[in-house]
Amino acid sequence: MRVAISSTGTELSAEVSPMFGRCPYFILADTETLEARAIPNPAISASGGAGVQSSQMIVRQGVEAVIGVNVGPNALQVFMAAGIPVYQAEEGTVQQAIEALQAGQLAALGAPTVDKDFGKPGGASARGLGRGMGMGGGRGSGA
Amino acid sequence: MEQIVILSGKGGTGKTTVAAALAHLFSQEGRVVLADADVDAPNLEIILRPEPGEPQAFIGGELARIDAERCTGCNRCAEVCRFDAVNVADGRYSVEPLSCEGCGACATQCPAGAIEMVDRRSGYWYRSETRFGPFIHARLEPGEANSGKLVSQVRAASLETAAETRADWILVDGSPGIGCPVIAAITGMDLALLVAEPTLSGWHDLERAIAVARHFGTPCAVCINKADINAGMTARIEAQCRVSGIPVLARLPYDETAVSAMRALRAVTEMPATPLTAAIEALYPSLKSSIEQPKRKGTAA
Amino acid sequence: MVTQIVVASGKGGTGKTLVATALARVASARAATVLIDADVEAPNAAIFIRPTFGHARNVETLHPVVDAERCTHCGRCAEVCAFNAIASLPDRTLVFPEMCHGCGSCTLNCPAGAIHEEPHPIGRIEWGRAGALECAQGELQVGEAMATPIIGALHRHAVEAGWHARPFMIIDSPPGTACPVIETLRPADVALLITEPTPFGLHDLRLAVNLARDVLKKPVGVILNKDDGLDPAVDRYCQEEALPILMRLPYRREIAEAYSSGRPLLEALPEYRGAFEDLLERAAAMADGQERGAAWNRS
Repeated sequence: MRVAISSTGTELSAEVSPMFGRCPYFILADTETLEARAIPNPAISASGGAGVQSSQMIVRQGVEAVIGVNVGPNALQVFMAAGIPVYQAEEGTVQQAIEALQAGQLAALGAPTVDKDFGKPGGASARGLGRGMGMGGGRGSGA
Repeated sequence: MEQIVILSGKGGTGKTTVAAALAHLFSQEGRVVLADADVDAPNLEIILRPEPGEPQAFIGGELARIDAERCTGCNRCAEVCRFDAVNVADGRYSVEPLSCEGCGACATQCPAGAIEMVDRRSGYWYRSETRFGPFIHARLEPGEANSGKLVSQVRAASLETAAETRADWILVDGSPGIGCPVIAAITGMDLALLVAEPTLSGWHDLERAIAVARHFGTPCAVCINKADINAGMTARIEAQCRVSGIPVLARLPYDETAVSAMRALRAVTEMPATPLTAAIEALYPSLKSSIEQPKRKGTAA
Repeated sequence: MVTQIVVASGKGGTGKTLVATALARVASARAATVLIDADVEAPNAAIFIRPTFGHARNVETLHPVVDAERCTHCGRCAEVCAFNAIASLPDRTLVFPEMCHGCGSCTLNCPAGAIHEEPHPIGRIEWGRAGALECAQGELQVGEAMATPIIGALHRHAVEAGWHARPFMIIDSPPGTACPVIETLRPADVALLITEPTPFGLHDLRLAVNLARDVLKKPVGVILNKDDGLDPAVDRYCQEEALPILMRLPYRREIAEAYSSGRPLLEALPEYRGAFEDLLERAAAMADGQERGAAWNRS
């Protein structure tokens, strides 16, 4: 399974980043083969909406799961809308986080299934989970 | 690692005085990273007296710039600008920097391609060293907007520094109000310590600060500063907090030590013992025990 | 032709509301006066003035709404949004209203015409009177980020309500030097900056002077509050900068007590009336020293 993890560095031995929207890199990894590559986070210098920007970029990478430590409500809402589950890692390396995910040890931050009315005007709205710094509080709504 | 922000709603209640003293106390027990999120009137640096780090430019957004050579005077930019940032003088179009929000609508709509968006350096931030630990602080250039974004930058840098130094706590001194710089300071915190003053205005603004904390899902606790200047108001605030389920952690007495410490460029707890220093020393353990365990299971706010 | 006196400060808690409300009372005894509380995140002037606000109006911003039927998920809206308030996903588009600045760029640039805007309240303004004194205040809704549009609404209302024909407008500003203060100071004919004689007070006074005098080019007078006579640094600074100190209020427990219970200063301590009358004269003279600021004409 392809997973994206917020990282402080480019290697699997790097620490998972405690921030999501403004972490320096995301590691895209295959959980079985442990093939991985690092992509720099375009939102690192975003003056606002870093969670929204970084999460959109990750969705476009076609991952099936996301791992972070603190994931803000806006980023979380984007992932939920895209049907991508988000897991919370303990402090440690990227490699340790992937192993923990494979061992089923990581708690999910967001539901992988999305309510069919979610995101439609007047439909269910997400209440942000996680402890990130999102300015919005996860109140996005949309079509 | 736990994150605490000190807010109040109202200005002048003693946030920075309390923040400096708590910084001192935390630093004696473990590793703390300090941050000043009051970026347009940063005062914590006066007490902390940092060894300043390299200034890091903060690009707060963009500014529209009209190229007079290419401009045809069609007025489309002025029509689309929602912020009245386009000036016309003698048929010459220019952008008023104080009004421009950097949205770029004008640039996307200009038929002559005469408008470009340029990075706007809104201020600087610093990672400095102090006698209590690493300190992240910032200064917004006068006349610049985007203070909330600079606060987010300060927060991000404090998280990075805390990870690097394996700090036990991040302590953030916030700003007055309830708008974007406060919102940027309060989201995702383990606890907001609200410093109240026993005045009618202070109570009014405390209620608003509590409402903001609730709105964004940040647990809060109150300490009442200068509590003895109006015992009746102090009692009212405590009663109301009880009803709302908000812990009141301490009553700090009015004490000229607060001002003499500031003038000596010291934290109150660095001065010879007074009732105020004792009260803050008693606040410290109550504060620590009122922070819930960091959420490791990602429970809903 | 109105004289707009803005009472501001870098540091919070120095006494803006205390001074603005007393000044407004003294001014309204002389001539028709309007008091505007522009500290929309924490409006407190009403506590001391006790007006009856007979009228109110919501302040709204415009937020985009995406029509799912027409949206082609091209991503152009997310591309042009400078504030990351729209997320374009492969099968849906999310709007994050708290990030939105209401600039309209997404709506203008959607190639499918799939976005329209709807009004969204962020706060309100209200107005009325307390005896002879006309009053207005703004209030930002809890959870909303931007105070500036509400302050702008107050300025626009002042024009519409004909307050520019009154002799005096006294405006109680938010603390600090960020965008809400800039917006408040825009139409000022004179800025009165209040400080206290402490290191924090002086530090923030410098910032406020830099903003009001050097960036916004307003005449600036200083008011020294809670003066215990133990710290000459502010006096020295004002002398160096040739800034007039227009009034000094001593540090007195009675003043603090009156303030704490919401009692107007001049009711509790009428002996200060003269000092406020002098302040009004001096502020008006400073405002007269230059061409009056253009009447606020933002449409």
